[in-house]
Amino acid sequence: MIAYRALIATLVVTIACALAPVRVQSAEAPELQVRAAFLFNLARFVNWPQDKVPDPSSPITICVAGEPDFASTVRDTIQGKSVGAHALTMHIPASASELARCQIAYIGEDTSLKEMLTAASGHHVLTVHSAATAQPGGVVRLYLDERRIRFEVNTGAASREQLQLSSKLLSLAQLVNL
Amino acid sequence: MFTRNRFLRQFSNQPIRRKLTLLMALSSSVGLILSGVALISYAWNSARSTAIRDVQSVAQISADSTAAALVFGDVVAARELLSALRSKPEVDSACLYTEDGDASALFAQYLQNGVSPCPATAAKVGIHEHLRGLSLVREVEQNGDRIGWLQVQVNLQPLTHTLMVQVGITVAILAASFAVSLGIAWLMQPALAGPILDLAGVARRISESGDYTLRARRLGSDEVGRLVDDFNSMLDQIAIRDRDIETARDALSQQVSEKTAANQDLLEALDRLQQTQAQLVQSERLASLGGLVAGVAHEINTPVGVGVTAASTLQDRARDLEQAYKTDTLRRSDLERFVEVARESSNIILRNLQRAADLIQSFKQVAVDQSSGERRRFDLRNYIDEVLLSLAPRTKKTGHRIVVECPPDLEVDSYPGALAQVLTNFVSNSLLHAFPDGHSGELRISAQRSGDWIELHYSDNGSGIPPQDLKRIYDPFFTTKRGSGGSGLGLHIVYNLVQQILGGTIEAASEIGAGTRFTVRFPAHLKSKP
Repeated sequence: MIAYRALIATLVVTIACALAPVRVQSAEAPELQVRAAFLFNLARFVNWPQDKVPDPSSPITICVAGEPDFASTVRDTIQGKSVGAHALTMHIPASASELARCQIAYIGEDTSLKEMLTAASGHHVLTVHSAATAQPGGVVRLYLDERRIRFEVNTGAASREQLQLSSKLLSLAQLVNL
Repeated sequence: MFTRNRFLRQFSNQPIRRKLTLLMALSSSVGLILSGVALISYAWNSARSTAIRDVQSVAQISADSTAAALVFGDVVAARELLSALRSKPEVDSACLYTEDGDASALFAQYLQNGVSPCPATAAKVGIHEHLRGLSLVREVEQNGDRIGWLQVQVNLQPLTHTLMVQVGITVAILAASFAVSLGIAWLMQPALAGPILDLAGVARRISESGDYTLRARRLGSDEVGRLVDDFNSMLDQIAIRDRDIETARDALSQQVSEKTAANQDLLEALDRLQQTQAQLVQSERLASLGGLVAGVAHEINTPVGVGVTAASTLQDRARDLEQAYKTDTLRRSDLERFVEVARESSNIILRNLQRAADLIQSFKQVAVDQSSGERRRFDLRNYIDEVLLSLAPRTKKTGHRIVVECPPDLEVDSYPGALAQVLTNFVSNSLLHAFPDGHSGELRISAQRSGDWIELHYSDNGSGIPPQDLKRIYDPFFTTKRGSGGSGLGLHIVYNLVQQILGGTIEAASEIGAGTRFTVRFPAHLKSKP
């Protein structure tokens, strides 16, 4: 009887692990995954201009500059996912100029943030970074607050890049205008 | 069906006042009930659909506003957003669920007062009704992707309460209007039922008292008014009939008394008639006795006449002899001639006197039989001959042949007088009716014994009796020769004698031109005296 229960418990754990790999990872992993999910979820609340995302089925490319571990986490996270009819793709830009073709660009802390932001500027790219302070060209900044990831939106940058951020999103975010 | 019949029977036994009142009140109440039920159900439905629409819009707004918080796992924000429902007092709770693999997990909740706690997992999408109200579960979507579920529970008890108040008011109105319509119906029903009850009362009084002069009052010109008119005209007709019947009854009783008087007269007349008839029958019998006497006188006349002639001849010869003896001219030859004459004369006288005595003897027997009506034993053949002998004065001059066929020594114990009368009347009828043109015919009398009965046939070959007369020959006073000797009693007497005296039967058969035949059957030995 006990053996039977143990078997069931093992099965349950195995299935749980198989179903929810996001939640059960190494100690460091949740933070990366949460951030990756953040990028993915951001796509749900943003409207790009017509020429950036021409139609509802156009793909949305998430670029991750630097932070190779995070890049692979993002790749795993968005694997096979979509936002509405938009298929999600992952791209690792070889140069700053490649950021222009991304819809969402995460700029890692191990890159030249200012250069990257400048390169993306004017191309309707939703730029995301994790700098300690708000950056004039960065649209969204992620930060940790009591071990929770929160985010800050630079409404000035967003309007300059003609990005429409959903009010639902804004209601969750800290707002700055730089 | 049984209960319905019983209800109808009970209803139809109620007084008409109550029926009318009930009908009016019921019909108005049914209308009120129907409209009340319709109004309440419409109010309930519209309130419920409004509530559903409300909860749908609340849920949509909440789902919309909490989508980002759900996506970004911001429980605090989600809770705050849901708390905005505080402005909606009817919302008991709002529960936000996130996707947890294939299942759902409670993410954030808003509870107004803890009455309706959130279940641990989301219920099925849709509207669920429960005692307190209803709950709506819907998906939370962003960009067409399901990201979670939202359940909003609303409390419909205030609505139900309002509705109950409405129902209460409706029921109160219903009761009040039922009472009012009862009152109105009670006030109105005399106008409807009054004339009918009045009419019924008059009809009952008439049937109880039999007084058809009573009349129903007419209280209006509606159908009941016309009914009253018809009823009254019916009463008029009944009164007229009554009078007619009275008149007819009077006339009838008068007629009856008249008829009774007339009947009395008739009875007396009939009595007199029967007496007269009996007298006539008696006198007829006496008349035939008289005829018999005449016949006898005639028959005796001949021998007596011959005797007288012989006696006077003897007297003349005796005087001549006496004369001759006195003058002494008597010769021997004279005396011898006288003795011869005297012997012949005395022979003639003796023979004829003997003949007359014989005739008288037989006539006396017939006459005694006819007049005395005595019963005795007699020889039928001899008696028939004696009767025929008494009839000879009437039959001889007609030249009819009379044939008698009867065996000798046929002894009969009966009433010879009656038989003589029967035969006499048969012969008299034949002489009177059968041969009107005067030619000679044949009268045949035959008799034989047939067991204990004597069968006597009498027939002539005369003119016969027409069929229409044959039916009536026994009727008293029926005759075709009234004024020329027929009394109409002959065969009536025959019939009575055969039936009553001889105890027998008589039949008549006749054929026009061929003759008439009577058959008389009577007992050879009459059992008892009639």
